[in-house]
Amino acid sequence: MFKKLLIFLSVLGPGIITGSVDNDAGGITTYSVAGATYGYKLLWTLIPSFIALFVVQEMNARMGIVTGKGLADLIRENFGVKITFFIFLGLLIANVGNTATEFAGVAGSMQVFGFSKYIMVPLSAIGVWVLVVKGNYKISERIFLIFSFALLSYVVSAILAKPDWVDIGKALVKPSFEFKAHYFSMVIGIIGTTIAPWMQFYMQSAVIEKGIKIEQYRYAVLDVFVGCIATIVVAFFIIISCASTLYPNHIIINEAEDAAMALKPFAGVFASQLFAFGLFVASIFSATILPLATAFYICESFGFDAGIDKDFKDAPEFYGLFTAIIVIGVVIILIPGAPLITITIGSQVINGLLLPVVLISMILMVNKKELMGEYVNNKAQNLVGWLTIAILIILTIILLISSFMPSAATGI
Amino acid sequence: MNKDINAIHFSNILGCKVLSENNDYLGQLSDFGVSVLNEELKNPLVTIAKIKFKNKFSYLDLKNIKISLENDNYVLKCSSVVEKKIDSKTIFLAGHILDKQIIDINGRKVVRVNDIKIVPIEEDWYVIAVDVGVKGLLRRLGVSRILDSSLKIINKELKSNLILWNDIEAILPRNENIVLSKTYKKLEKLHTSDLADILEDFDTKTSMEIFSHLDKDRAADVLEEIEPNVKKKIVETLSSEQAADILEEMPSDEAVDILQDLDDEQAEQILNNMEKDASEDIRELMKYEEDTAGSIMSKEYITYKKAQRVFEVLEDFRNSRIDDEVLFSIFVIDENEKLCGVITLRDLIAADINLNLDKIMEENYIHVHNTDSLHDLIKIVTKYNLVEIPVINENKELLGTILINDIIDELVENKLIKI
Repeated sequence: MFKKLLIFLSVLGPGIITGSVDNDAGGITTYSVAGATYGYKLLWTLIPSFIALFVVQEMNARMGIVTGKGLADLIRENFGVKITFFIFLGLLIANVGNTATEFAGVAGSMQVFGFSKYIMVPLSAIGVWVLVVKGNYKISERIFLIFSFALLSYVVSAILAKPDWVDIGKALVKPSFEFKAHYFSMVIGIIGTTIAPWMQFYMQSAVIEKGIKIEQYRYAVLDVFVGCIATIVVAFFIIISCASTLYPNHIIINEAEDAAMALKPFAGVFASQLFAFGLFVASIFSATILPLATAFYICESFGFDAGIDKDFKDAPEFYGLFTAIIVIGVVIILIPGAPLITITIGSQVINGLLLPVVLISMILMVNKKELMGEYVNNKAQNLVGWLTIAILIILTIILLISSFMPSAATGI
Repeated sequence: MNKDINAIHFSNILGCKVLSENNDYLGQLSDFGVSVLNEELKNPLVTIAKIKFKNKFSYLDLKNIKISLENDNYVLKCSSVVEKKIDSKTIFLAGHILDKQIIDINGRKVVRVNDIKIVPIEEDWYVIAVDVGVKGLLRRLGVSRILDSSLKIINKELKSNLILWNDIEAILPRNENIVLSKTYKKLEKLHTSDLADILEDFDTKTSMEIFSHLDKDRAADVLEEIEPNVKKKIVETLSSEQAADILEEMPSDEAVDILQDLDDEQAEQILNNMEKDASEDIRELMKYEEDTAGSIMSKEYITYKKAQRVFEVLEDFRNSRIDDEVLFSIFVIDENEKLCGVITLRDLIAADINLNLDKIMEENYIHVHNTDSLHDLIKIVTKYNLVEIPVINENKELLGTILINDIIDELVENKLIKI
């Protein structure tokens, strides 16, 4: 028994880290807006999201362990240049949006402390750049992980707000629909921020780097499971806190300041500061990983040298892409009057739109015998996978219809 | 209108129609099989056309197929539909080469294949080169022609980055269904450190495939040069016997470093599979604390007795009885293993070949003790400008030797200097 615990601890990592990084500025904002705008009405999306998240991440972990190759590699080798190009074009757009979101988080959190975004955002962008290029990534990863425990303050806050747990229970299991474009985009946004496409690439790489062997598969699955629970639990409590404190008073979240009010039951007057601090840490952490990972995967699949261990002149495409993503993200946020919250939610919706494409390629590969040997999907996994894809596509279509023809949507 | 074809880009012909003599639709071209049967042939011969028809695949003999260009599209006409059997010497371009990572021998790195160039010589088709450049990527995306015409306007040209087939090595995955027999002769041209870099760039499975084709000596040399994380993964994947065989060929200090990184059980198993001498040496070294000279010394040194002559040493060199590659000094010891003197290579070569070694040895040799700290070791080595220093105990018995290289490696690993 003790030995099994040791093995689990040695394999622990990829799932938990991925789960924590999932709660970035985009996540915190999306869940907050969901709770503030719709109360408990969007809670039901969490259970299907959890199931889909677990199935998808397990597939990534399995592919990583069995093939030893990254997701970007596999896509290029199995689908050729054209499809790789379109997937990564989508990923690039989504991740520029996501990076902008992280800096929006920085801007919003610093606004709570009274600092102008025109100073803080460029400063933190430079800080992130220097940290990645010159610093020790592993140590900063650990520091951030420790600070991400600050998110647990949402749990305390939610409980202190004394919500009606019966209502919550009902909302969790009974889906409710509102036929507004905004509602559907929230649903897609929640799924997109919970199962962000770029996380699939990241998780598979983390598994490979850990060097997990096929004999340790069971423990890896447990690690993934724990990570998913962490993500969904935090999402759950963020939604509830906002639903209990903001929704009854019809407080619409326009600034991060508004979302901070959700922590009042727990932190009282310090709610804003606590929230801002947590948001800042989560934003910087993800702002460090996102551009790096994106640049790395794009270069890998197109045959350019990549990696921070390489010099600028050895890997110009990698450093160029990495810097460009950060710069464009910063520029978007610095536009005067840029609607930070809207941009944030918008980028999560883009995630949700890209997700079916990535999932389809993943499912096709994970069912190939030449690739996975005896570890291909079983019927249940295929069912959940294809169902998630189908639902996402349907939601996307409904969203498009309701954006362009509001009247048509209500007729459904 | 049919045109004589100069060369085909494989990505352009994939998916083209295959027709019978009577213009019946037989299917789409889904792959070419090439024969690597004759290893002397610099360029493999295309022997098989893999056709896809209604989700079924068939393998036709290319001898019966004529490739022509009609209205900018390739057309394959098959005069007689004869299936050809695939053997273990056939590799497939789309299945094994296109979009996969291969080794660029001259460039000494890993590259990805974006396209493949095939040319006709008389009646046959041969693969001559792979395209690893951006132009190949653009061609796959269908934009290279537009780019070419645009660039022509400003008098510029995007060049293709082609590598001849002879200068690449493709690594084929091992599959339970097909056992591909391939030798990796071209890898012998690569320097050990370059091959180590290449192994670091591949995923573990492919690296193991390459590694398992190296002979013991080469495998040990390459393993030495590989960075610690990848090194550990490779050793963990090998069987205990294989690992023992390779670790025996390495300098003992290297073997110790590797074994200390593994978990105790696995290390024990490997040690038990080694020859007694080697494992004893290694166990002795493993006992040293970190930050002592003893912990980085190796047991690979050369000793002679005082009464031996210079010409004996030189003869041993010529007869390859001494096969250590890195050699700076000869150690002279007495019957009790006590180190009496040190002879540098320079002194050895300059000396009269009939002299006894004790006449040319340096008795006041610079040394460290096995328990001295690394800090003291570095002070001594830099003060006296040494490249090799013997390690002795309080009784002046010779225990091992430390090379300047080992010291640098230690400093880099402990991040005291960054490269």
